[in-house]
Amino acid sequence: MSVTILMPAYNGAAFLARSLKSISEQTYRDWRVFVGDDGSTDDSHAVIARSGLPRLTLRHNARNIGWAQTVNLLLADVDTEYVAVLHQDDWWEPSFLATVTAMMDRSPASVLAVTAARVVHPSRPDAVWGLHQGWPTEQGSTCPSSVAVSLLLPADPIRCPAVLARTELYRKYSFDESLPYACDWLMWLRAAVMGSVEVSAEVLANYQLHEASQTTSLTRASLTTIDLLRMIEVLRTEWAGGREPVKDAIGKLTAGITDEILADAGLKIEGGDLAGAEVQLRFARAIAPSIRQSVLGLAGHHGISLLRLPLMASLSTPITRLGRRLW
Amino acid sequence: MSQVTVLVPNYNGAVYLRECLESIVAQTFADWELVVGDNASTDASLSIVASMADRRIRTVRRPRTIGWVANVNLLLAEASTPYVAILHADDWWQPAFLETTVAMLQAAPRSLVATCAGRVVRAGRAAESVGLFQAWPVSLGSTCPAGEVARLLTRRNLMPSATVLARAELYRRFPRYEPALPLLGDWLMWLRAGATTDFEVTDSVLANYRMHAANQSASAEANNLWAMDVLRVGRILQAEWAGTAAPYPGAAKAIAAAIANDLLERAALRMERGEYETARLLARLAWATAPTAGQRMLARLGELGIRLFGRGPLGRFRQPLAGMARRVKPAMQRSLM
Repeated sequence: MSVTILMPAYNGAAFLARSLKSISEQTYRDWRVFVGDDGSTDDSHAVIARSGLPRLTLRHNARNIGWAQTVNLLLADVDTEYVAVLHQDDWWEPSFLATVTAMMDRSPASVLAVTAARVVHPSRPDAVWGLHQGWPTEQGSTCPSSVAVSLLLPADPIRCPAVLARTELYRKYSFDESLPYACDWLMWLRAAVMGSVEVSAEVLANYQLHEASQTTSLTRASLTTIDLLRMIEVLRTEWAGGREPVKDAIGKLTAGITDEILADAGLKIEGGDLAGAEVQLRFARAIAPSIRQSVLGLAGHHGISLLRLPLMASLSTPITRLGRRLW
Repeated sequence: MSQVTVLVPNYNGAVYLRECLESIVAQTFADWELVVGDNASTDASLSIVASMADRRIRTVRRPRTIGWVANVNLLLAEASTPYVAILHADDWWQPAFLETTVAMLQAAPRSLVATCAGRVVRAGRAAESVGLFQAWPVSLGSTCPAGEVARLLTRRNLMPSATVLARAELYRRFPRYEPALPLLGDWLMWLRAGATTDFEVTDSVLANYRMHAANQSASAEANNLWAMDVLRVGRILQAEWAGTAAPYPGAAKAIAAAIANDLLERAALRMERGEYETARLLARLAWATAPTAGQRMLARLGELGIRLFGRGPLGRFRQPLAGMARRVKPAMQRSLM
């Protein structure tokens, strides 16, 4: 057996059939599946049983503990050369495993193979994400370690279902359970430090983005920010004492995260959530490593004060649109 | 069925594990069962548990080391008794702990938590005692009412997990410790629970809480992770306590103020130690999260001070100034809030 597919599942009866079917339709057959059920209360089990997928092992957590924790537990029994993590709501094109295993077999120094991923959202047109956007594959499929690290520092273009990893990555690292929204980014960065990354521009994975309800997305916005801040601190410790994989790695990471927080603040202003935007702008200003970003944060802040005036409120949407386009 | 389940999460805790387990066996209240949750230890932990030879003790093993919060959350599923306690492998109890706390909960059917005083043990030596009794003098009665508990714990976590016996109902209402809070998950648990339920309080010292250089508290402090957990507790509760959900008037603002205050204190400590960049970052985060103009000004002043005195010719004034600031700040804080 060459590939173990790990699937953390929690109340995903509505999605599981699609993801399990995409496994059964793989042209590459040398795989097995561990499903880790994280305390589901819906009829996930029936859906899994109905799928009739061979070589499937179902594990149960006695309580709901989180997806990263579930994957970390499943990793204990992996004895194949490669590992893929497929979430219950994501799915593959039939040639995904064939493509990524072939790339990895050809390139023993590579730790990851990554394809392009289609990001599917109920109310937005599909977008395509992947490392090929920074590493055009005409240069060959093997993106060297230092280049991959540089591409992954400012933002995370890799979606989880688009990845096949060499198992040695997970012998060294577990998914960081204190980073529910950023632990995969941290994992890909660590992988890129360990070795090169195989890149394909083919869209072979599908990533389901959910329409979040207003309140949960509000809470999540600031918790995502704290995940990102925490990730900076984790890597600052890991890379202390001259162990930075590329020059000024923490600076580049911090700049990327500042941009992400600023962009989120822009979206919030457009959506009329001035209080939420203000919090984000404060965090951006607190960590901004460059003068450009500090100024943007400051301008945004004063902009919000202006928008709070009654006359200006009607102008807020066109102004912020303009602002977002300018930067 | 026994009355109490004691859950002992353990990861490579062999050095202290025997003392912990023996302190449970030595309880004057004997109607308990004990489950060790071994997080894939690689030391002698398992043979120590086996050597205890007590039928009330059993072990569950994780196949791979997971976070300690996840280990505790999985352990909670092992408890089917009316009462549950969580005792970490490096902590231990005095013999009367269970007898006292069980009696307190039996006498107060509406309380979900009973908590005693805990002696902090540093480098093997007993230091101060901590507990909810510091904020709720037992002369006011043993029952600290819902809402008031949350208010008293807002400033800081006074309750090490070793000082707590909980009714199983607590973990039905709040089924898990927050996975993203490896350092402060118990604080959030007591704050959430204390918002809606009464706590029983005693000032008897019945638990021992070990602080040593190797435990996670110390290393996390060194790399800012503690500050990140503090920030997260603040953001979670500000959202949960908004509007009419506040457990006491002004709760959302109070937790934000406490968080900013905590970060500023950490900044001053770092400054004293000469860790200039970290001190500055913490002061800026305090500014970012401060709820009032007064606190934001204080944070700004702090950062300005760090920039002025952190480096260069004025650097030698750094230590005395930071020390002074730490002493003066609480007074300023009160006047500004």
